[in-house]
Amino acid sequence: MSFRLFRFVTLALTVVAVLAPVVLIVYQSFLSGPFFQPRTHFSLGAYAFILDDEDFWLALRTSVFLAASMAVIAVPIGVLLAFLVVRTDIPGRGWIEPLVIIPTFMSAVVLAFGYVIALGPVGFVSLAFKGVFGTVPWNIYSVPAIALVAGLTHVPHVYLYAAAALRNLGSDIEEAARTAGAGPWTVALTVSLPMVMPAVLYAAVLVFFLGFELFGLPLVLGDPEGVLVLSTYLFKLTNKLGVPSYQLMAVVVVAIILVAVPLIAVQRRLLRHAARYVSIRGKGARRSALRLGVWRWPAFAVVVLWFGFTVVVPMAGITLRSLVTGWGEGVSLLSVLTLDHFRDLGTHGDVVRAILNTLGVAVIGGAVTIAAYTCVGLSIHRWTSPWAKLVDYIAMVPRAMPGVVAGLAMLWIFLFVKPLAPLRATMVSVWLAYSIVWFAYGLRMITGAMMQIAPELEESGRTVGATPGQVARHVTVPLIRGGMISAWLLIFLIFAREYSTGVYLLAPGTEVIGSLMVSLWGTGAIDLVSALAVVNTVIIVAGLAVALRAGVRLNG
Amino acid sequence: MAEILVENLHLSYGSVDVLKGVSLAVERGQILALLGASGSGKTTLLRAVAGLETPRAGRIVQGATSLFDADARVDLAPEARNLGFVFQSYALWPHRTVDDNVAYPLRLRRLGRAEIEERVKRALGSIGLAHLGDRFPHQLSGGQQQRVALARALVYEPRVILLDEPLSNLDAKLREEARIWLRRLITNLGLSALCVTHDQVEAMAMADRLLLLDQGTIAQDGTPRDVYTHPTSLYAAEFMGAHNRFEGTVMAVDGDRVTLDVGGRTLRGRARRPVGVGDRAVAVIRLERITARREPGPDRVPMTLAESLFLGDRWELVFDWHVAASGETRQLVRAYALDGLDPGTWQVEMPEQDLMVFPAP
Repeated sequence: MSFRLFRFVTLALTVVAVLAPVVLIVYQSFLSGPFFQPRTHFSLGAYAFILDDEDFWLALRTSVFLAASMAVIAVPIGVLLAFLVVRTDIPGRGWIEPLVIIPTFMSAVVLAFGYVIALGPVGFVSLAFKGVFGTVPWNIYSVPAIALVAGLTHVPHVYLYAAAALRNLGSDIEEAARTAGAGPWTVALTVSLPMVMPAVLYAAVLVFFLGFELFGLPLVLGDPEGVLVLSTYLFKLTNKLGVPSYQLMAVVVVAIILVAVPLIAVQRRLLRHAARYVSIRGKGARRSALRLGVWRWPAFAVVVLWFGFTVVVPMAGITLRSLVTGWGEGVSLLSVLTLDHFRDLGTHGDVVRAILNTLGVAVIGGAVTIAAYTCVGLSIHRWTSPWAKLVDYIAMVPRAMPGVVAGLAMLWIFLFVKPLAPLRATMVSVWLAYSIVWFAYGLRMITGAMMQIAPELEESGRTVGATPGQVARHVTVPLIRGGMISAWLLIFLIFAREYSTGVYLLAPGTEVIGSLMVSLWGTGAIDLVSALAVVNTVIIVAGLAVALRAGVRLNG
Repeated sequence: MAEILVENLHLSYGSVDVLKGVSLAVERGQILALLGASGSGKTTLLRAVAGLETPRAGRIVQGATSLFDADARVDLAPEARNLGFVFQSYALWPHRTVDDNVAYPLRLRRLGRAEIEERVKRALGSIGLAHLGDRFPHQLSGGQQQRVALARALVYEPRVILLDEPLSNLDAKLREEARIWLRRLITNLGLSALCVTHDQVEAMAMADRLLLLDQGTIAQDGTPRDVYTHPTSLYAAEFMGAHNRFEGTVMAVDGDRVTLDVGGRTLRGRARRPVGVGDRAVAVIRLERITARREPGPDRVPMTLAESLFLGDRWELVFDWHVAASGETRQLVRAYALDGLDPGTWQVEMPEQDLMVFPAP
């Protein structure tokens, strides 16, 4: 097969896979009923209904409020942590960083379950607090509580960009300020911080964007008191009118995409700007860490407090819950300890399938996904045609679809395209949805590795007589093998953690741990959910351990 | 007969014209050096011949085959041109051993296993690296990598080899040996070669012919000796060799003999391009053409020795030329000499036939 044909086929499949869900959603939003109903006709009725629904506007306002609060909470803490780890002599400099990054790989629903179990009205922390002080002053089911939890769990996103920018900062720039007479703290505030501002600004927009797409936390924490955000409003719409109200859901999806697109455009601009800023690079000279003096341990305490609240409290909650039959005021935990919940996992067919499916889609599916991303990467690698730019933009489209939306769109595609229908209740549908949702992220990892190859290594292949296809097979792919393996490990972590994309695709045979936990939580099967959450976390931690051993850079 | 023929090649990157109508011919068995400042388009020209860049207009022909012809819409892929290309960075594949690097072109040509082995052995033997076949590129020195890159480009016996700054990554001493070795290898194999370099000494040492490029056009085309001694433009005169430069006004013209007024002092030289009385002109003289004498004489000017720099194989002398009339115009004149001089005033001779006069740009 000629390389030209390969490129055409690959890109055509990519464009179809990426655009078909969006096109179907937009089409559905202009219909009077579900697209499969025979008497459906074009109509703006769905728009009128949604725009008239108070709950929609309330959900939109809550989404904006949550997104903004997350940025306000995550940005200062993230920058502070980055500065402490990268530039000061805080205790444990060497091992804090992997710990700070860990929450990005935790499942948001697992954390949410953990918070309910630990800090909910009858949570074990709440009960302990009540035992001492007589009352619990917080309500985990309120909007401010969701904002706080979401903000704190998104600190790592800010940390990653701020830390990278701080590291890229040429030491000569700071040394110039020192020799001009500025003290170390003056330099930090007047030179280093302004220099990393573009990266911080980018991170702020990213966090706002992620806040807008939040699903797991508001689903679990918002539900008891009826707090809705756009994505959970969409989820609740499923049965709003008693019949499948596809057209209404489509309108909400269009609204989500309309908000996401400009945010992505802003991110692209900012990222380019930030990259320009840090390209002023000095020598890689080792610089001495700033001495914190008496503030060393208080600074360390800040990190520990943040980590404790974001990871230890919810994880301890969920783990503890998986090991006991229940608790309450005056119940000794030792008397209720049990391993029954884990034993029970084996007795439920859907749970066993979910665990096997999750491992399968993460390991095998992840490998196939990376192979597919690599094909797309090869197709656009050093391609100077204007079409390459178009493909680059199309790759951004899936980013505008939160996982729950992509899962819904994929379900519709499998209903709509008759030849695909037999695949709907198989893991192929889940795998395809995952691959599309993470397309932009995964493709960037692959193309990033390809850009590391000096062009003349490929050109020399051509001049000695290799066709473009032979160069791709014999030079490019072998040279990015390392990048592909780390991309595979990262995709494994992401696929193992996924919960939102599979929610709409959940059926006998397509269970994955994440979506099954969401579904079981709704039925109140908390024993099973907590044991499953622990299993999910163990899988992710094992994957993380392998990735760290293999020297994978976790920031992708 | 020309082995490679380039006709009126135009190439642009976006709105920037990199090559503006370049033509050249490499005769069979000849080494042609492409010389020029950075940005002159020499590497782009080489890459266009290899098929790594696509020109906008023009023709590239090898023997009887059209490699590129804008009018006939011919554009052979790089792999179909069967040329050897040695990259500046050598571009050895880091994931393959030396043997595999050299064998790859033969595998692409579907040769038998035994023949591949035999030819790789012969190619590595001819560059003296037969014992290093199992090594990976990063385990070799720069000079060894350069030779492996050459072996890889020659193992499939192309008739033409293209070299992009082949010696620039070697240290100075190794470079001088390598250029002799490289020239002998190319001539012994009867190859034609096109070699890009920014180093004029390297170009003159290696090449049978020089092509001097200036901003995408050919400034001069000739033997190294010709280009060095008879530059046809100020750019060529200034690019080749170390020189002094004087700016002045033409006072008299007699055939190609010109008298210049340089800040009140008279200089005599030969016009290399037509100049007229009253024109602004630039005179260029190479450092090795200037001699310091004790006694006054024709073409001699008294100057004070300001500095003597010992360069090892020779001295560089710097004279301070006070221009008497104005008293303000000072000019430093540099010269080479085999021996150092005593401080003081010297009669500096700038022979009329060595002072090359061009119209001011």
